[in-house]
Amino acid sequence: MTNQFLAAKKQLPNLGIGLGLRRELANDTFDNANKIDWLELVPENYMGLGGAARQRLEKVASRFPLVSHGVNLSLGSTDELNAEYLAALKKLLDKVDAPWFSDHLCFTSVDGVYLHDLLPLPFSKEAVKHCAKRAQQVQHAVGRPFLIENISAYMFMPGGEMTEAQFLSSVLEEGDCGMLLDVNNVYVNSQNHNFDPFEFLKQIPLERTVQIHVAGHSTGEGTIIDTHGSKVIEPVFQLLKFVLERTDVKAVMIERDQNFPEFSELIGELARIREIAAEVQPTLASVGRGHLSFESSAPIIESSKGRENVGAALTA
Amino acid sequence: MLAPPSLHEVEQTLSSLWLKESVRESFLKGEGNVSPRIAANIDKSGVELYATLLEYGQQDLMASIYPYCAKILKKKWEPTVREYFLAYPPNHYNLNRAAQRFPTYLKSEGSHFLKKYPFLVELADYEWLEMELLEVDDEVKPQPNLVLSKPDHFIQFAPLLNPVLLLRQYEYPISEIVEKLDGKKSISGIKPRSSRVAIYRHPLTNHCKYLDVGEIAFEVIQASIDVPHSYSDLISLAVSRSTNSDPQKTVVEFLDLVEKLQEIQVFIGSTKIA
Repeated sequence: MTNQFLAAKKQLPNLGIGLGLRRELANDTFDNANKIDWLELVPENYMGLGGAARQRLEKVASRFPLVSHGVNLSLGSTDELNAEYLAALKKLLDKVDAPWFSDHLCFTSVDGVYLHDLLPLPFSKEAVKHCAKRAQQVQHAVGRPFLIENISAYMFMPGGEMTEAQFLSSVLEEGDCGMLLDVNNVYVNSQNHNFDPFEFLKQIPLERTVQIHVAGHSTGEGTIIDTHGSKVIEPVFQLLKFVLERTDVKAVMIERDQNFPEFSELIGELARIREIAAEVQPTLASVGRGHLSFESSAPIIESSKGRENVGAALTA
Repeated sequence: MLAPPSLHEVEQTLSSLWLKESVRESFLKGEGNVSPRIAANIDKSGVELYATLLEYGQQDLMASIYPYCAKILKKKWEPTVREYFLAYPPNHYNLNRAAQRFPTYLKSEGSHFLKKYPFLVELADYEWLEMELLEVDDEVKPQPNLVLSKPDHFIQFAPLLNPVLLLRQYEYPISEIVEKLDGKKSISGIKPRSSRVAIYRHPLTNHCKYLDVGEIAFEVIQASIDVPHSYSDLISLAVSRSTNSDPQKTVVEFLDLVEKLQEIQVFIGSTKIA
């Protein structure tokens, strides 16, 4: 186990308060650029693609700092790491000069089949070793700091030997990588699996947190689902505050992947995050890009055909 | 005491339970072949929830790419999507590519549909091509159009074809079928009738366009795909294929065609070849 990552974290830029780039939100995102410090893109929606995707990428790259958040690295899969994927990812990250990249602590493929969802891993020693080793390989192959995100999981997998907090901590420390902490996922899991989310946060190496995701989830009876399709609720903001009080982070953002609201609602959520940050971590809140003067340009024309990869579960 | 299951065994078993309805149903009934050391620790409601989420994702993707096939198959659409994903599980990290082999599936496994809808494979191909062209990693840079004002121009220059373009010759009038479906008109009684379509990505809007083309226009575009052919060669081609007894009239029609193809960005300029 090494702590090289913690030293590297100090060198990472402070990005501020950002938003997930989605094609449905792209034009509003440009129109509100002075309220958004940075953007996170899902690399699978841009790797090796032309047309509107490329146009959008070029436009955002010229206007926002970008980081990448993958959904199909399949860190926990027992399949070999996909060399084609890693090469395409590296090319994209080099192009946009992302200061770091991230993916999920999950598997998305097995025996060559992609399931296109973020699937939970058994909390086993074997899985810790496997994911930690692959995290190092990925970080080496891509040549940029790698962050691992905790997922929402709706079942425990057989073969578990430890708690989620122990599993996440072990992978981060053995892999010596950073954490993308999704406080909504912590909340969703705490509700579905009946634990105290604040206690969970105390048990994981918060000092490795570089970036935080804030999002909404489904509500109602039974299992709640991490849909990224509704408003962020106050308890999730409270988890964010709890983390910001305890460790320096470089970037916080809203994820919204479906059931898109008026853009002003998202701007309101960004303002709420900025307000929390101003209170407990002012350097994060004050990144602000100011009122940049952009050259006027035509809106991006998007097709609704096909689907973008997103990290949220879609619900009917 | 049973040894703990390996990571691969867990991933493989759970994936199978999530993705395969028959395996899942057997397991939920307490039957099937799931290893006892795994079976005892599987949360059955979690299995059902992930199965639902995964299927929703598949259905959503396919409905977005094949809306007309879905419209035709109605209640049979969802089971067809399920069968398709079992027969052709996704093998690429790009989500949309999971839908790519649906026309192939229909051709090899959809004989029961093809009796009633013999054009279904062609319709699925037509629908997939839009997705394919939307994503093609090829930059289209329109060039200035040349005014063919001197005889030399016809020999020295060739039209520059939009590189994000595919041609299809179908046995059925697929565009007409799509139009009927859009207009909620009946498609029963559609007879085979050869049709030709150029499908391309417009460089300014990045949208895909479908252009129904006649036989000669089809050949002119096809001739320009691999190697640029001079305007004069293309005129010769048009004249040789034309049934019109007046070659001059064919030449005028050819020039009109070129102008039209330039206007809609099938031809994105001219290139000097000699």
